[in-house]
Amino acid sequence: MKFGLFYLFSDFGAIPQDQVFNEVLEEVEYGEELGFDSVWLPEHHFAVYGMMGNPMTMAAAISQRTHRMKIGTAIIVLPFQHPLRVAEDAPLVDALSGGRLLLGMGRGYQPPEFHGFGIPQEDSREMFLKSFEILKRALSGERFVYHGKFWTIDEPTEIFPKPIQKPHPPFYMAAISPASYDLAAENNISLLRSPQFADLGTVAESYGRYAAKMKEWGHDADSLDQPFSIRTFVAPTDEEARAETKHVVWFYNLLATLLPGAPGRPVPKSGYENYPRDPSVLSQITEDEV
Amino acid sequence: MKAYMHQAGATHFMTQMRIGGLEHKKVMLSMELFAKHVMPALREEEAKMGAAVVV
Repeated sequence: MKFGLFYLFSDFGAIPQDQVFNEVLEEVEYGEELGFDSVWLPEHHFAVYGMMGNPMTMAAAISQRTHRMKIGTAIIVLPFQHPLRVAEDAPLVDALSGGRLLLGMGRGYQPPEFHGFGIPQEDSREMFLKSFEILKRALSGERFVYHGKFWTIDEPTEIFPKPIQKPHPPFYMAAISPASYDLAAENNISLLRSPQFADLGTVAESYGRYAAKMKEWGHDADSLDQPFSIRTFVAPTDEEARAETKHVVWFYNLLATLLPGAPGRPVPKSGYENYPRDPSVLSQITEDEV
Repeated sequence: MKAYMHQAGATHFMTQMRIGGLEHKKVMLSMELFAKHVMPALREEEAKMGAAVVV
C-alpha cells in the first residue's frame, strides 16, 4: 500500500494566508522524510475553501523541496484553461521534479468557479473530453492542428518542453459519475476517488463497473495505482483528537455552501446527477458525528 | 481501514490531515504518529489479507 498526503489550502482565518503555504511546504518535506509516497494538490477558485488556482505552481515549489515523493494534481480542472497551457505546465513540473509528476484531471463541480470564469457548467463533461483529447496529443509530442467547439489550433503546433516521463506523466481522473468511470476505463487511467460524495457501497460498486469496463478494453484496473482519499487525524489521546473536530465541521459547513444545489446555486441541467441531492446534510454535521 | 480500502479497490491511501485551521504543529505530530503506528499496521493487515499486488 502506498501513502499520500492531500492538501486543500483552506483559509480558516487563524493565520496569514501566506503562512499556510510555507507551513504546508514544511509538512510535505517532513512527510517525505516520514515515508509518504506522494503529495496531491487540488485546483480551486474564488473561495477560502481552497486557495490554489493553479496546483502546478505549488507542484513546482514542492519539486524543489523534495527528492523522492511523487507530486500529483488532484485535480486540474480542464474546462477552466486552455489545454495547451496544461500541456506546457505539466512537462515543466515533470522536468523540475525529475519525472515525479502525476497528472490528475477532472471537470469541476463548484458552481461559483464556473460562474467566475463565465463557463456554462452544463458544458463541463464535453469540455473535459475535448481538452483531454488535445492534451494527449500535445503531450505525445505531436505537432498538430485542431478545430473544435471550444478550442481551435489554427496552424501546426507543438509544446515544449517535452515530458521526461514517456509517453507522458501518468494520468489520473477524478470520478464520481458513472460516465467518468467509463471514460477512465476506456483510456486505461487510474481513478481519483473519495467517499465524500457517495457512500462506500456506491464507490465499491462503481469500481466493479470500472474494472469490468477496463477488462472489456483489454486493460487491468488492479495493475494501476488507485488512490483513495480519506481524512485522518492522529493525536496522542482520543481526547486530543476530539478537540480538533471543529475544524472538520467548519470544512463540511463551507463545502455545503459550494456544492451544486446549495442555497442560491441551482443544480446544472445535466451532468451532476450523482452529487448529493441535498447539500444541507453537510451543513448539519456535528462535532460528535465527526 | 484496510478492509475499507480493499472493498473500494484502492491501493494508495491518500489522506488529508490539515483540515480547516488545524494547527501546523498538530498536523506534523499527526503525520509522525500516522507514519509510526498506522502505516505499519495497515501494511501488516495488507500482508495478512494477501491483497492485490500493489504497483
